[in-house]
Amino acid sequence: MKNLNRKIWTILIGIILLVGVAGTAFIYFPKDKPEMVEIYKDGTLVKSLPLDSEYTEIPVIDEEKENIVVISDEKASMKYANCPDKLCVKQGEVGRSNTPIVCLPNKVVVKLSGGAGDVDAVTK
Amino acid sequence: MSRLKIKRVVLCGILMAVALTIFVLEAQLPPITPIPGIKLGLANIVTLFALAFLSPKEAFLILFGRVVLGAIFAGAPSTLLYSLPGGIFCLLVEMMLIKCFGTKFIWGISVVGAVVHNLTQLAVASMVTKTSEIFWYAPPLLLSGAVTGLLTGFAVWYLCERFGERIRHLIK
Repeated sequence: MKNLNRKIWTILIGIILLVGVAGTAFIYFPKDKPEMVEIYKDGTLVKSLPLDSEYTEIPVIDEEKENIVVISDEKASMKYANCPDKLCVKQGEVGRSNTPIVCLPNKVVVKLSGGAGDVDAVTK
Repeated sequence: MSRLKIKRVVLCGILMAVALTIFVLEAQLPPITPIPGIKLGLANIVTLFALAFLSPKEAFLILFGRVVLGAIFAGAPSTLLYSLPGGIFCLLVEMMLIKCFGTKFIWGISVVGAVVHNLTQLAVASMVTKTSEIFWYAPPLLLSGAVTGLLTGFAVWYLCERFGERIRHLIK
């Protein structure tokens, strides 16, 4: 009985570690190169641009919440944000992975998506 | 108040202070990765200790006090929105697991608790930002939850295995 419990726990933790490693690898090395950058504010798409645009700065301003998203060199990053933790700015650039850049306090999400065919309608 | 109760209350107060100190100190360290939510979570050592040697109610009180005071002292109070649900679910799950398996596997219970905590925070964040993209953060958080969970879990496990009897005797 004791040995069974031991096995259960070791296997469980092993699975969690495995999923964590595999999932992380999958996310940071995806097969397809994303084409579009989508910027969401409060859950709504506010801007959608191709990833290979020329250097572009996109301000996302709403009352006191300010964010500036930058697309350059086929990468997107958060150049500036007036949130307290600035984790979004410290995150650096995303160019290949599916992980979004998120500014939680200001509710801004910058996401890369597969291609123009992904969205049916885009607000500009 | 009986002597026994006073002892317990004082102990809870001390543990809350210890957890708060660990929490605030840890918050001063530079972030390891920019991914939101990845921390060492060392204050959970106190939470697990409370679950192992005190009652669930006391563990909850210590957690609640630490999270609320910690948010006021070290972070923006807005982080409460994520820490509180995460911490509560984590505590509930850990409490049930300890009831089933005892403290022998507290290292594994700590990992499950850390995973639950991180996933709950992700769920709250996805509701706040109204996107589901945020779940892309799940694998790195699972990994860091597993590693930090093992770290804090083994710390408490060592306490239980090596000093368990002594501690229970002192606390009585």
